[in-house]
Amino acid sequence: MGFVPQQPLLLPNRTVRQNIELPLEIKKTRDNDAVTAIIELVGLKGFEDFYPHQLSGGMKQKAAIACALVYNPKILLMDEPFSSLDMITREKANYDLISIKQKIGQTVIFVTHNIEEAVFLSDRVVFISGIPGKIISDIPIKMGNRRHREIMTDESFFNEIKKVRKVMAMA
Amino acid sequence: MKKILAIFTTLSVFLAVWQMTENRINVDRINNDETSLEAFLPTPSTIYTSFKDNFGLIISETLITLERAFAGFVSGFIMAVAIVALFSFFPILRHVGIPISVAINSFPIIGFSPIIILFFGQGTSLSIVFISMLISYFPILINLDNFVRGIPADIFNMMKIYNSGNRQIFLKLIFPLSIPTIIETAKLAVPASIIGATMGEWLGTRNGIGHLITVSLYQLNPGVLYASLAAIMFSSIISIFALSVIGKIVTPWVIKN
Repeated sequence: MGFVPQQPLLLPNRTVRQNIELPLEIKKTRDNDAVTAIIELVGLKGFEDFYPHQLSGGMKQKAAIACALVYNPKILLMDEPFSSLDMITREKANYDLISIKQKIGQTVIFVTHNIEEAVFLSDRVVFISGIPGKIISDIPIKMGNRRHREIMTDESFFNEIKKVRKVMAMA
Repeated sequence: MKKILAIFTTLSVFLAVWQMTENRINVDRINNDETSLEAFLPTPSTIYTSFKDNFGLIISETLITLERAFAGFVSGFIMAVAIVALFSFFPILRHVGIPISVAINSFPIIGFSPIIILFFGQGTSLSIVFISMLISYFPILINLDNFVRGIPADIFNMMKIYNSGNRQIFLKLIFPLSIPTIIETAKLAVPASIIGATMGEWLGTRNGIGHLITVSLYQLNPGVLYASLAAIMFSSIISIFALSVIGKIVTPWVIKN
């Protein structure tokens, strides 16, 4: 399983590239091609040799995603990864995540408190209650592959959001 | 450049004011005695002359002291780093090790040093090295341990998600992250080890800068006394400067403000 936490956890003493290599180093399966490919995939090409403190919040989170993907896990779990970003960066991060998702085979489980984000990113939105966490509802989102900037102002997108809001109101 | 200029100016003003104390009289009101202030506070020019006249002696004695201090520092340093490493592998040891270390650290080592010197035998370098080691060991241990405990738990959890064992957590996480702290604590410990060595020599040897200080004190030769102190001070400053340079080379990732 790959895990992307709320705050990107990168080691300050390692460059972006060295941070992404870390999981492979620990698993003793060095693979330079995989690292290069993943850097390109998340869009950090040209920033490989930067230290984390030289990156913006959005770029740090991209690097954290790369760290979680580099050892090719079956599932990618993202725990509110964009909650610390401002709204504009956050939307940009969503578009980037969609484009990453379209290139990888992994199932992504994305935890969020933002309905728009949930609808925009997901094929299924699963509601989970507070403690003890129970699945309240599992809502399919029928947007297929139309996940781009324009859809955000499209009626079909609003309809999906309404559907989710209705379920939430009943819960 | 600005920084160097500021330091240079401050130093010049300080030395100039000091030089102006020349020919001042010190009045001992209890004994109603008048002595030249030079006996207690020689001017920079006098100190410089003493230094020049006794150059060979001061340098050779300083080197003896630095050798002892270095041996003390290195042994204290290795011991402290090894113990903190041990703590990170066996956290239970910390519960015992830290209180003991804090207790020993509160113990006045300087006051205890005559006993150490008697134990190892008067005139041996070993007792000086031992005192110097004890004094440099604790600041490294306490600061390093504080730093390691301050590494966020989230980063450890991250390492566990990557399935890393204790050994890898130490080699990939704790040790590399600690290097700046190790260098910073070394900057505290190096002067401490030199002071420890000087104190030890003061009490129990026939050579070293500490001994030279005692001798010049008894011979009422304040010029040599101050020149010896200056030699010790410069050695410390040079070591700290060297450590800063090493730090900049080995940890280019440290954020400078």
